[in-house]
Amino acid sequence: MSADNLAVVDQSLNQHFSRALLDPELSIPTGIVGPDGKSAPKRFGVYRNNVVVSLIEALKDAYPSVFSVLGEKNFVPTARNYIAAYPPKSPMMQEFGDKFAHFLESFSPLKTSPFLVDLAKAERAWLVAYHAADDDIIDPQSLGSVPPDQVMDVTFKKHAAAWIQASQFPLFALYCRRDDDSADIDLTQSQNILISRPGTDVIVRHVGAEDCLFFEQIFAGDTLGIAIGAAMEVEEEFDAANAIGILLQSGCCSMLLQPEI
Amino acid sequence: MSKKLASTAAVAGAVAVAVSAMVTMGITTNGAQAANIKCYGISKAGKNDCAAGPGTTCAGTSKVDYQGNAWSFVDAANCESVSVTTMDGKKLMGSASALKRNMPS
Repeated sequence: MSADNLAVVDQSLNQHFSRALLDPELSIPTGIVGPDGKSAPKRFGVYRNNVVVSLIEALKDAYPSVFSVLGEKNFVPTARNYIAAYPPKSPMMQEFGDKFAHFLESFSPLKTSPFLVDLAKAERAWLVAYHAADDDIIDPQSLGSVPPDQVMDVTFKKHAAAWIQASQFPLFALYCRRDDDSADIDLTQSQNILISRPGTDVIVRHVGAEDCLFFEQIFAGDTLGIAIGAAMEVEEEFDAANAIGILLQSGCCSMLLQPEI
Repeated sequence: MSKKLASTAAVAGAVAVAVSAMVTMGITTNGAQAANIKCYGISKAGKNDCAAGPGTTCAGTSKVDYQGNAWSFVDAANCESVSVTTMDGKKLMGSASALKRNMPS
């Protein structure tokens, strides 16, 4: 057999092998044999089970709050469906599960729990923040030293780990399920979260609707004046000093861009 | 959305309040960074810390004592004053950057 032919056989075996791993209905790939040279469907079955179970465990590790809300009984079949639809594409396991929120959006058995989509997005953002590159964060003094007549035009650069998420659901309380599953959650509440990682630890905080709008504008690259103006439009009593305090304290911005002088 | 602007005085005032509050609390860039840093070269074999996540198992994978590229989280102020004494009585200091010493062969 020529090298070319061998490559073709390899590719088709690989495809069949990876499909059969996630679909128990498929036949065992040809060439899977035991020490006696005979086809080994049971051995392949054990391997298939190990692969799927370890992927379910990985998804559980990445989405502990979704797991806590759903419980083992509902999470496992959801995860099996996810794994079949979105098998891992990268050898880096931290990337596995990145489409989970998207998947939940259209997973009909969970249509009645739309808050799970927001929660999955938040948990993904936590993991992305954890693995994001180290980055500089703003020194409060450098913002303090901008002349008062130029401070309106200051813009910031979002830290790679920073994430702002508005939600019509109690997102912060839902997120906290990973640490405490005993608290009652009022699903009629609306909570927004800001995620940052100033050093090595990810910080998740609950921010008000107007603060949320403020950070959306700041992260989009708008000036401080525009961001404060936008927040004041939804809440006239917007506490700008408090929002700037959160910006400085959370370390969610890596750079202060001086306005042109 | 209309790009309404807050008044200059209000923004400057808010910045001044926020910055002075941070300074009072002693938060500067360095202070806001977590107090712990990665300190290299002081972990016993198999006792290094690691960033977690699904499928990662690198915590506790260093092969030799005080491996130069393995790290432990310690207080930032302490890393370079941490010293460990090896079996043959040599003193080794911690480092805030990865080292080439004691690599597994």
